Amino acid sequence: MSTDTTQATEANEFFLTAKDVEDKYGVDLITAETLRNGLIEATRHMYGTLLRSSFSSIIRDGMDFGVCVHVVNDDGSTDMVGVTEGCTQFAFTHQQLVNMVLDEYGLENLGPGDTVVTNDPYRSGIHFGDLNMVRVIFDEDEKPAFIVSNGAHVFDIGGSVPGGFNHQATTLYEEGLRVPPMLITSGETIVRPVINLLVENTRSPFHMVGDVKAMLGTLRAGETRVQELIDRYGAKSVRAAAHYALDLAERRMRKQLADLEDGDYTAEEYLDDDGVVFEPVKVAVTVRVRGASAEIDFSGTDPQTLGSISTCWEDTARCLIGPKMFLDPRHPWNAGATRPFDVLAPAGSVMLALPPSSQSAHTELGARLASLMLQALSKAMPDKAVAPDAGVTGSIIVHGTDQRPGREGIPFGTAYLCGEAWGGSQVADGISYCFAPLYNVRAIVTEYAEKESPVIVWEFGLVQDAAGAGKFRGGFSPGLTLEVLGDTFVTSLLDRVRVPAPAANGGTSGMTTYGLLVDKDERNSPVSWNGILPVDRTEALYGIFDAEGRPDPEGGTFGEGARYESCHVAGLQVPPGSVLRFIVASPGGFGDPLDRDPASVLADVANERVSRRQAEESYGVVLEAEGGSVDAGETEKLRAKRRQEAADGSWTAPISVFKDWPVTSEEYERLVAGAQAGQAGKEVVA
Amino acid sequence: MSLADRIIYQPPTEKDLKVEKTPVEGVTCERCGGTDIRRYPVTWSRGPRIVVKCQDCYTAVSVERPAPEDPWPPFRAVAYDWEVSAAERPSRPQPPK
Repeated sequence: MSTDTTQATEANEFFLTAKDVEDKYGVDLITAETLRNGLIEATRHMYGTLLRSSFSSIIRDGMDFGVCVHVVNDDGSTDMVGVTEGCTQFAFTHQQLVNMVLDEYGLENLGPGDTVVTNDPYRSGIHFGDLNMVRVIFDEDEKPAFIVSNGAHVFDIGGSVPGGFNHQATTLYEEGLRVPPMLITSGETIVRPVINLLVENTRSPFHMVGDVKAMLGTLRAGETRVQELIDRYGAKSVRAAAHYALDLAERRMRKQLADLEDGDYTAEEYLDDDGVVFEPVKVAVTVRVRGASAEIDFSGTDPQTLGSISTCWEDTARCLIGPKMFLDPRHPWNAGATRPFDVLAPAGSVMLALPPSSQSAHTELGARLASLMLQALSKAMPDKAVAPDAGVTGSIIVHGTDQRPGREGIPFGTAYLCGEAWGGSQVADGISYCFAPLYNVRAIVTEYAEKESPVIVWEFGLVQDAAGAGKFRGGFSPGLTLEVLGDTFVTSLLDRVRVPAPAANGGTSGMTTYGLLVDKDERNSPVSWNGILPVDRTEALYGIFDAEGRPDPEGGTFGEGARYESCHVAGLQVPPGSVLRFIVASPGGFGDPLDRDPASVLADVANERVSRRQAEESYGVVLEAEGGSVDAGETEKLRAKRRQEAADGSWTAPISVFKDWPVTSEEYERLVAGAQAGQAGKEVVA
Repeated sequence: MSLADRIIYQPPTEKDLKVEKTPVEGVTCERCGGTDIRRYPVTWSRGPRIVVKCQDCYTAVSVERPAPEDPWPPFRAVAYDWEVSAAERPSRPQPPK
């Protein structure tokens, strides 16, 4: 039975001199740094190879993949020493996955040119749609020295819902093909039954062949680069430098932990529901910081769900996105930085579901983990506290069979990755139009999406007044309007329909998530004005609405007049010509909105991000009648009044939403005409 | 124990789930002198581990790979400790019969 001793590293060993490095690792500092960066550079070559050679747009354009180099330790365990990711989560899961896969398959059973493939979330894969591959690099003595691995999201892996995100699945058997670790290449040759297994269980066989070959080529590219380092410097030096790199990352992380005050820091979050049982799902965390180590404990989290939002192991690794972002955001990530943490998750909880639990809609729990961890760590570091991101994936999956001339019968599939936004911080407004920290993928190129799939992307833009208010407001999450040109199955990866994103230090929450079907106007266009459409041209799929159908996250009723009780809708079949609109929840602001610089409010109004009404109601800023400048006197009076009301509890800034949402098309036309005349939202609220 | 022991489970019936920490008697923390020492499963850097830790200062007394009797991680392949077939190691010397 082996014992790991690296956890016992003391807090007084944070930094090494050049002499220390040479004495401890047997290589000089310059060589150690050269090789540390050389191993990272190998992953950059792998990244470029996969980006250029993959077939699926979700890999090629969306960059939903990660590539890694690991060093093999004397006891057969491995440590990820370099990673380049298009999708951040792989940087956390592959350290676990490679160790679990090699522990089961047996490192000693693998030879040169052998590659193991798996997609199993119970072995720290993420969901069945993510294939992971592992290949061993041998040294001059033919001993395993390094591992190259990659993970990438293929479009489809079978199951009852095209694209694989089956919100209504209650067991893994409904979610597609589960691939335990098995050889996909043997001595450089593809194992035919295995690639047949993959290709014959997907709706996108052409993409699957291309993507699998691209992944295999990527591993060979990585092996070539690492082998060049070994040939030049010798395996002993490269391994020594790898351990130097790991220890460096560990020391940096431990230093950050040691600088925190010892304590237990808690946070909890709620997902809307699991798509089957329509009740909020709690995720709770306690971060126990003691010296230069920490326990991250998810005890108190709800039991695993019937629907597929639970996860099976990966989130005990993915939760480290919080420490990464908050404690050591700049240093290249590797397994050394994970050593100070023990993660506890109750078996049978949402964080660690037991087989045969479904898990394909893992995305929302993953997206929420970063905001959960940031909320807990904000208590440990109040001088760096932020309002978290919206905590929503923001992806729309479309699948079907193309019927456009010349493409009849060809399966199509795309993930329209629209993303979300980040919350306000202590120094700046939140970032608009970006992705949850755990994903950080890239939006699909619209022109490619429209060429490869029978869809039209009509609109991708902000929704006025959606961002949470604050001294520094949240960013604006996008609204996306898609038209499908053929029979199409649509799955939304969203959340925050019921529960808005939290704010921080007196800010307000942002607008919640909405799903709509849209009728085009008389000009045959479904395009909105700044994200606003009249109620009489939309059908509610999900959201919080008032009695007349206006979005109203504060005073409305969840599901009022809506088709669904949840946004976790999988495989919604829509006929050609259907126009769908998704408004992704926006994050909260940081600090009291009454402290926001009036000039910043004026700029937001001028840019049509914020209405004059919200400027007054949320920020206490009154503009001159023409709207081109701030009425300083009236602003001062209104803010003083609001502060007094806030002090006696009769006023709080409202959840952000456009309050003058038009019900009829006539109201809408007047709104747009008024805006064009520079009169939008002129009504002053007392 | 059946083959299915770590392949399929009934979902938990308890609502309030927490990681059980089993007291370890007769051990004193070398760092702080604490006597509340407990053993429990964690996810650590290199995968599933069983730790014995002081609950006062959270210093690890030991960090070990799970023993066969530890149901950690919850899932384990049926054939995890079965004999390896020749097909699984085609590039390596074959095990003697």
